[in-house]
Amino acid sequence: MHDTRRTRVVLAVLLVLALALITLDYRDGSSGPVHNLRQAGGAVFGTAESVVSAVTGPFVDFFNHSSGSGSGSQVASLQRQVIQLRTELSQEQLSKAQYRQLSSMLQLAGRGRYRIMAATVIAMGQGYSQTVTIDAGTADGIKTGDTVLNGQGLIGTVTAVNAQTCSVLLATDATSVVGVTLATSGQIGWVTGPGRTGSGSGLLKLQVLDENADLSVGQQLVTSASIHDRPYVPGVPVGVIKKVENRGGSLTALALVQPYVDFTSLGVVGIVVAPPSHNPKFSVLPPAPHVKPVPTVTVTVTPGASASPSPTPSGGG
Amino acid sequence: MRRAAASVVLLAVALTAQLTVVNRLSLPGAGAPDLVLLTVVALGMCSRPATAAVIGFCAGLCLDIAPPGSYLIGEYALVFCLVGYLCGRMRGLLIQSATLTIAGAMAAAAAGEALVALLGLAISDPQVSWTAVQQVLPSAIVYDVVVSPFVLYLVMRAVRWADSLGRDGVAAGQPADGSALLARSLGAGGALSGAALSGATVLGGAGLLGGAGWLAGPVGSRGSGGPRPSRGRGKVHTPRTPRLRDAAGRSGDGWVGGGPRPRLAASAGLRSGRPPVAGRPGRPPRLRPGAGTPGSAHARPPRALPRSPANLRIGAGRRRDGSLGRALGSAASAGGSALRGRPGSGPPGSAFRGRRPAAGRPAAAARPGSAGRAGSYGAPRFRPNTRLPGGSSNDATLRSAALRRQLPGRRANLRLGTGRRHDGIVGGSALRRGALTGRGLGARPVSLRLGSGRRGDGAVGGLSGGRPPWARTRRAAPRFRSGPVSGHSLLGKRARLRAGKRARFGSGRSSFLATWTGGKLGGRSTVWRIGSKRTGGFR
Repeated sequence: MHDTRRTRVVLAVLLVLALALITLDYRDGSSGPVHNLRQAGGAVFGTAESVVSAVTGPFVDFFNHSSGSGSGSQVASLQRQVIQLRTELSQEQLSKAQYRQLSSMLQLAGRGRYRIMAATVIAMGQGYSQTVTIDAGTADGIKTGDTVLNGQGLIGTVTAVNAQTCSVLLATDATSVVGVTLATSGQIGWVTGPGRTGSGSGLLKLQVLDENADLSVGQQLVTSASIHDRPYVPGVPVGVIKKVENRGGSLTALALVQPYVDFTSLGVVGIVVAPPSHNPKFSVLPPAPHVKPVPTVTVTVTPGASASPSPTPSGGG
Repeated sequence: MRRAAASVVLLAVALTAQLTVVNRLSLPGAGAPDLVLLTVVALGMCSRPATAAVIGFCAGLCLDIAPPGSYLIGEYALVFCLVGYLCGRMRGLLIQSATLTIAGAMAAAAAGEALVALLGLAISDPQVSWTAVQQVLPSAIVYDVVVSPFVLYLVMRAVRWADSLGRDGVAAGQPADGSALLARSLGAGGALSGAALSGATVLGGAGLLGGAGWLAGPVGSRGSGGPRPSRGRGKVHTPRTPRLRDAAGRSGDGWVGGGPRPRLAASAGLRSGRPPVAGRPGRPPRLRPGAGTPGSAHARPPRALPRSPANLRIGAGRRRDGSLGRALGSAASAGGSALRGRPGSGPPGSAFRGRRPAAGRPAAAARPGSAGRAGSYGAPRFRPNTRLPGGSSNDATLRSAALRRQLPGRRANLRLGTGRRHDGIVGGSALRRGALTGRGLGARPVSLRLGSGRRGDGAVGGLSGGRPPWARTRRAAPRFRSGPVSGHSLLGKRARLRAGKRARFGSGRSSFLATWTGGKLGGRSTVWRIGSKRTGGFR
């Protein structure tokens, strides 16, 4: 009833503008005015995010680490006290956890001879995307296409860089495709992300070029070599095969891969600023069957009659 | 402009909180509440459609370009623009009932989430697959629906606070403490209140969010009691439906927009006929049996007098009235000048438009309009105050003021009403400074003003130009009507509207800039349409 002509004009103009932006960004996302817009937004909001995240980060980590633990019906003061003490404890643990993350990441980088730049996750993407912002940018020597990892393994690749921040496309994003090499056998395939799923970090989907590839649960994956090491440097651990899919009629062998990285609680990450001089192959992988794959093996024993008492199957390394 | 600034601040807070906190929380389910969307919805609920669309577009664009950014720039801008527009269309709900408003906000939030998914599927965003939508959308909608009442409450409170800043010059717009609101809302009853409380316990933040305070009904009109049960059971929108505090008043409500604030009521002296305490800074005592609904021109029934806030207020002034209402009055009282013969402010003299005249100009010359000419009580309404730091006083004005004071027949200034913001030429801050000096605080006599101007009455103002000043004056519609004033009477709303209201003109021209700033240039910002639901909109 109050809808004047001007209102409709304003609405139409805005809608057309939005559609034009979508079209422009679809056509040339890496250059042109839309790219400048993104750069400007990154400069402004990236700074704001890093500032805000410095304040709110501990709370977020506290929530993520202690979610699910709720105290019952108690006196309010006691409850407050508990929360306060737990916060202090968690702060203590957080700093220790960060230290652990950093040290393990440095060990991984040292094994692979990567030169990394340590940074922290400050923001996470909206909606259906699986992207994060980290607080390192062109001022730190970050470029588009750098590999991002942490102490567990591959996280993703840098897609956009600003002065102080950069955006990282996680390996679990639906648009992410990572070329991988199966440990020991050297077969080549690629891993795509599941997108946003209910369980936080879903399973990656592995496709191997050779349809007769010998896939088995517990096999480890590392990133394969890329041209100029751009999307991903070689040798970064990606995950282990958790389930081999039924491959009837498929051109490629399919498997589901449990990533090494827990994508729900990303903290300290490292950006590879200089790739190794030689391909580290599988040297970066954790001492494989003993650490990660053991529980997976015992849980999903389907192939044979030998059920639980086989902790280390074939995938030795 | 303050509204725009408040919107920008709210959106910035929502955006950073969304990206740095909410998205990083590993909540159960794939989705997460979208604070930016909810803020757009809430802001749209108290804006006009065009403004709301602009707000939504800007918020969506910021969300698009803020790192890590969306897949394509413009996705969220498109969706939020539409959502904002829809919420702007739903703005009428705000003056009808809180229940409908919250339900509308929930529906808009859910629609926004669905539109995001739909647009992603339509432009084949690789991140938005059908399986992802199935996983994310339900939980996201649930989160949004749960969180939206609280965001709505907070945003409306912030917007109202920003508006009150403009009205008073101080940040003292807190209407009541949360417990009172909570009690009132509980008194209002209804399933919604319970739902809100359960929602609060779900979030574990009942105290933080002020509980269900958004159900506060018309405050102050009924004293401390809750809203009375309505009589028209069968009707959907009974006059006593609990409404959001930010809704505009209806006839008989006793407050407009925000309701009389406890601070003002406490500082007014005449609550029980008590003379004001000498030397106490504050507002001059006045009689006010309830403020009118915008455009309704209803007086409060006399029986409400003892319990009402202290200022007699029949036909309250509007902003930019040109009347030197309470604003200048209080400053003058603080300054110690005894304004016994203060000229009343006639209705049609709206000539000042909130601007200060140049310092040193005589008062009469400072009025481009025809305050002295057009009204029957059109005595000069402007009274220079010598203590005001901003000037506007010199010997000439003093002399003319003294001269005026001696004139016979000007003393009977019945002034039942009070000015609004931008009333006088002196803004609130200057006044407050004057009041803070505390020089010679004397007891002020009661100044009664029968009928103050309404905003937009009378002169269109100096902006139009071309015509002589008197030609710009437009006589106001008669403003005191003794229509059916018994607030929640047996008559229906429509009947009361017919009896008690009269359509007025909207003046001023509109522009795109004015759309953003929420008003028209050079005139009243809102046209009250009688007989439609827009009566008394949200300014």
